[in-house]
Amino acid sequence: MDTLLEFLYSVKSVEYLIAIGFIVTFLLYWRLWTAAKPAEPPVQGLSKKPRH
Amino acid sequence: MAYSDIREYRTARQPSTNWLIDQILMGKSLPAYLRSLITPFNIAVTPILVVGMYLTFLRFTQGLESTTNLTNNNPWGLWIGFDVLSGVALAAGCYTMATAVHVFKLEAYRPLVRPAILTGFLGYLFVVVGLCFDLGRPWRLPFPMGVSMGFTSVMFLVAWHVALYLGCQFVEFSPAVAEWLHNKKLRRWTVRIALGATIFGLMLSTLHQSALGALYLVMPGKLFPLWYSPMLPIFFFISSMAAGLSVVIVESTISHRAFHDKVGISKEKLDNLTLGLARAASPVLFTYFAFKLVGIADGRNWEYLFTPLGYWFMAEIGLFVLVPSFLYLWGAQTRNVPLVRLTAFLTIIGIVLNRLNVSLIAFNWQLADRYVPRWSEIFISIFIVTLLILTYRWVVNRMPVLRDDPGYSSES
Repeated sequence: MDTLLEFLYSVKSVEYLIAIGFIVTFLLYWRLWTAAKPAEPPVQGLSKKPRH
Repeated sequence: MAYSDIREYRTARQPSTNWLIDQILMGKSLPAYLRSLITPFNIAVTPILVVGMYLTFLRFTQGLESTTNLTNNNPWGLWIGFDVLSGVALAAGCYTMATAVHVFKLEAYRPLVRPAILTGFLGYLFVVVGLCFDLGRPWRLPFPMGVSMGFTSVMFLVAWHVALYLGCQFVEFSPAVAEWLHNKKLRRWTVRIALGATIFGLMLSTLHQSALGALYLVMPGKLFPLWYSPMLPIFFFISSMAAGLSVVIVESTISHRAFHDKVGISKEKLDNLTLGLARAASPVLFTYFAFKLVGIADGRNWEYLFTPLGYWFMAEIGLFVLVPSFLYLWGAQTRNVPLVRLTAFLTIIGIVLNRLNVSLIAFNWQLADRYVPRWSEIFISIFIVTLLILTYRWVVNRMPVLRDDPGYSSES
């Protein structure tokens, strides 16, 4: 516990800010990656599974 | 002696010259071929070639001092930063596309493989040309191959890898050469060994793309801390994948317009392939961005972010890594092909900027004697790029690169 607290105190505020910024950016990216789907299948032949 | 048409010309010559006329002069008589060379593009590049040849003569007869601002403090300049480091990264389209199609069997992308291999092969070839300008004495270029084996040097590894990889790329491209020569036996053999060359080439690429980053591992005191990281080899390798995919997008777009009578795929299919490449390049760039942050965290170099070079660093990874990552994904999701092409261009600028930052801008940052390239260094780099474009055009006009040869279209 002491080691954890020691670590948390040693981290600078800019590091917290950048960590939070990165997490927010990643969540935005993930939302964009999963949310919208292309209007048409992108390229035939990418998957071996038959398309129905 | 003037010939009125090609038949008369052929009749007048020995049978052995028919091949020369058909394959080299593209079926034209010599005078007609020479006349066809007078185009606006050729006229525009002629001054570049003339001045470039003069500067080449100057560099190889008068030494580095006559054409560069290189000093003992700054022995590596634009030719290493742009021609070698950026050139190798931008030639990565070869291993990315060849691996996608030959190893992962993404057959849909097959029409993009040959142009990518040719771009990669010529890219590496002209990297070696650029290196000759920097090193001088080109006849000593093979020395690391046998005469002076520096087993503990990263440069030794890079030299061997570039030499071997050039060979691999030539083997990968050789089916097109065999088709051009109408040599079916040679083509059969080259197709058989192409897969082996691809796999071997992938291993070599993994190692030497990263080895170029590893060159800077021995200089922690010289490179600005935000660019220096023990993970530099990983940065170079991941970013080369994004660079390669972006170059394939840009190159296929330009080829589709400049050689529209020679391309084998429709605009719609090319658009679909472009969107697929964008969807692949996006996570690569995002991963690269995350790794860059890990690199800063690893060295605990956050305070350097709020310095002039720190702002420059943030501009590099923000505008040219993170933004393209989102734009690629957005373009692929909304099927916005022009946006994807613009993003590819942005990514290429970003990767070149990164290599220039590592090798020039953030390098020797504490020295008062900063290196600024001389105009002749910049001109020779433009000269080398022009030679690459002209060679690419020469090959594409003659060999089946952008489309399958009708005689072999049913074969793999």
